[in-house]
Amino acid sequence: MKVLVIDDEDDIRQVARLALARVGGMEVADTSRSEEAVEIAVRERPDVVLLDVMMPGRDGPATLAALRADERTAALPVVFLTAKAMPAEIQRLKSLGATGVLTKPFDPMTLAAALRATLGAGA
Amino acid sequence: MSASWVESLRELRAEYLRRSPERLAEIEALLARATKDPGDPETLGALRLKFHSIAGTAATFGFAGATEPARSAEALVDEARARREPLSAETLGVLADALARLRALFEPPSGAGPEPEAATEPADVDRAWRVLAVTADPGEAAFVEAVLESGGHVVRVCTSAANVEADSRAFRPDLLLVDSELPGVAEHDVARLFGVMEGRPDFPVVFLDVGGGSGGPTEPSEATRDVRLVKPVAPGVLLSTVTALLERARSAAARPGSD
Repeated sequence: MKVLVIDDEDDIRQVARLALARVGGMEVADTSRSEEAVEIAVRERPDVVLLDVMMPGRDGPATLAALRADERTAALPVVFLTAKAMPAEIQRLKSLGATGVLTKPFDPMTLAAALRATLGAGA
Repeated sequence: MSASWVESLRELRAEYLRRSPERLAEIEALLARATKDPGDPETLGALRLKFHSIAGTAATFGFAGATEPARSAEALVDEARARREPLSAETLGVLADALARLRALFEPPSGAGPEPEAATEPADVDRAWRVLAVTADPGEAAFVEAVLESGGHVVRVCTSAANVEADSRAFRPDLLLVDSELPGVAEHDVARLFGVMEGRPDFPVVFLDVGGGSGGPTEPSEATRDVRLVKPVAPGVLLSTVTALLERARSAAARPGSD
């Protein structure tokens, strides 16, 4: 499984890469440039996008909309990564068309398992 | 879990810690700007993002204590922005308190420092809790050190049950963390040895067990204060369990009549 991590925070991208690749055995690409998400997704051909919600510039929901608007990435599973863990916020994010929602802070030891479970639940 | 993975996480954690003063200085500067212009939307937006960032990242790197103050501060700024109102003097005070709590966590006074090289010096540990980790697994030892030191605890690793007595006399731990797979001596023998030696049969002990349980901590035994955690243990669970036991033990010791 290949994951594209889109997050403006260097720390999160690094630890997510470690958690997904080294612990979870996944292939990982990452970027902080949410404005280029579609082009990067087309180039990297991930199986799933792990997308931060609150980012300067184009935020997570706008990035999801851009991915859904392009036929090359419209069907790509997208899982939000959010620091706002309130049920209403999670429901709102799902209603935007996300495959699932994971919360920050996350446990590096279990992030890959949580992502797999989310994808399984959304299948 | 491989040792190299643990080492990589430890390096990321160290890098996160190194950059923390910069993050806190940015918040301090934004608070100063907000004090002068408490309704400036740009300042409030930036302040919210800074607290949001810490709320969402710190615990991932082992600094679980930062989540609550950062999240509360973010919520306060959020409320003001939603109401399109300037930050009140009271709110600014609460935000300054949150910053102080974060600073105490990331820039602790001497003795609570998270760098193991400095923290393990006896002269520097008066304010920190000491944990003796008894495990022969280098990967587990590195994990335990990284997690507990991130919470300000001082950790010493003892790799053999035969050395527990000597190490504990030299280190004077406040809590014993024992790998149930420790070869050579049955786990309860280690705990009992320590309890008898110290004259404290209620000395807090955490056992790291292999599989078969719920993963969460058990309630401490009334007789021994033992708590069992099932591996793999989430960093936050390990830190919160150990910290809670230490606080409980110190509270008991501080009560009149306690020995």
